[in-house]
Amino acid sequence: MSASPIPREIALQAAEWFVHLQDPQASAEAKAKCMAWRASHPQHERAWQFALHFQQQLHHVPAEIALPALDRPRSPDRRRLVKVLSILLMSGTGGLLAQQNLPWQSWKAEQRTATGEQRRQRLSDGSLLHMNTGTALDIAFSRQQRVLHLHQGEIMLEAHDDPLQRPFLVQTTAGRVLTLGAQVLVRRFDQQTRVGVQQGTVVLGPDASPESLRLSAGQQASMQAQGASSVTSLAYGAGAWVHGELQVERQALADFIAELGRYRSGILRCDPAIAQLEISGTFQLDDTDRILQALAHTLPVHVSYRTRYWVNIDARHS
Amino acid sequence: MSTTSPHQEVQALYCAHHGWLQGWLRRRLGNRHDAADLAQDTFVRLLRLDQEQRPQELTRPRAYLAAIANRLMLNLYRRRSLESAYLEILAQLPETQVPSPEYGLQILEVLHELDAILARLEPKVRQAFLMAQLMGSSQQDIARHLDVSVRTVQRYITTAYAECIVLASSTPEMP
Repeated sequence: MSASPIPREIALQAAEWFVHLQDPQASAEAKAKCMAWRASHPQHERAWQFALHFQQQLHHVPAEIALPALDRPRSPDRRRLVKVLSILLMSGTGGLLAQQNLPWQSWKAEQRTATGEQRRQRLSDGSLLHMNTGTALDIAFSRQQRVLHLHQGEIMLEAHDDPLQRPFLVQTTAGRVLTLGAQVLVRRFDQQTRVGVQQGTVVLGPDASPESLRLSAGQQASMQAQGASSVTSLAYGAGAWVHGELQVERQALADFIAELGRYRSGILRCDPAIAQLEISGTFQLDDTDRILQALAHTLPVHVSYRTRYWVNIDARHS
Repeated sequence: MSTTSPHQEVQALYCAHHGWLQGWLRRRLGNRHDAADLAQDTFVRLLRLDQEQRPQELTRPRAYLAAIANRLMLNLYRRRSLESAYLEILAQLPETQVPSPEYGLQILEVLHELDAILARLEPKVRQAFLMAQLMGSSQQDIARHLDVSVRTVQRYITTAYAECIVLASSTPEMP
């Protein structure tokens, strides 16, 4: 027997009763009225059972998992694309489905890497995209341009020349990075976006400013919505993560720990007393515990694990 | 009226349009493997329709097939986005709260079921609903967070439940 949808008016009544009775202060009278309503029609009871089942399922999952999973951001771009596509499909003549009439879009699900995950993928135009730990982005190629919305994290993009001559844009809330072909590192911080060019040229366009800034190979700058910083040279070891390495030269330990922490779940706490110790070297990111052990051997520090996910780095008391 | 059996009708559609549909999907997905899977799923879905859900005649079969395939595509993206969000959440949890593999699979299944329904809600409605049900937030707190009145929050929560009832009771995933 095929299920039939509950009529909206009944669903609404059931919802009102259900929510009302969730209140611990619901009166006995209200409870009795609700029972009477449920009993008065099989659809009423059916609607009630759906609500109950849904609530039970909801509580089946630990809240700290359910909430971020179910309330995750849905890409606004994708929703707009979906609307456009479904309107086109539902209406009009058969000709709408011909390739040349539909907007030529190839879009993918939101791309994400977990903490500590790195991923590389080839895009439909042949460009190579490297995603670092904790990155979230959307790819939106169209006939006019190749766009990548970077919501979080860090990428290295090897943007190839496009047979269609479409520009490549990396878009963040600070502004956009425009290139025709380049090898570029883009990292999103909370308030700004940092861009470093390894090969080729890019143009930075802050969102709220008419100025633009051109960067060539070996250069780096930061961008906020209001404008771009001055140009510096590409930081030492900036692209080392692409090869799975963390490469530093005389970096303050606190900064090093902060960077390392991006690749690990949990807490890495650095004692302020040793924050200014300097560290240099190239470290393999596939085993962050090994890096922590190396710290204990090369610096006067003590690494202690409260749990697997909580590590303290303190001054070593000899 | 048609004198052929439903299976024969679907088979005729398959022969005439399967190749086209697979190409259509491949251009959108950029991926042969997914395109082949979803093309198959589209026809399987057609086979599963009851007599009353099946359209009497198809003047534009490709539009109809594309509509089904489109819905399946959106579902695929939604499922993948849920799964990747789920993995990321697990990666951030303290060790004591990470579920065992078997339990984790169960949780994921339930999440899929919930997500399929919640995805259809307006964002603020969904947020109000989840904050009330999962966080036990007060209506005042939710109102402040969403920048709406308490009255609106009450309406959101009731609407959310009503939508869930309608959606859960409908035949899933009709084009």
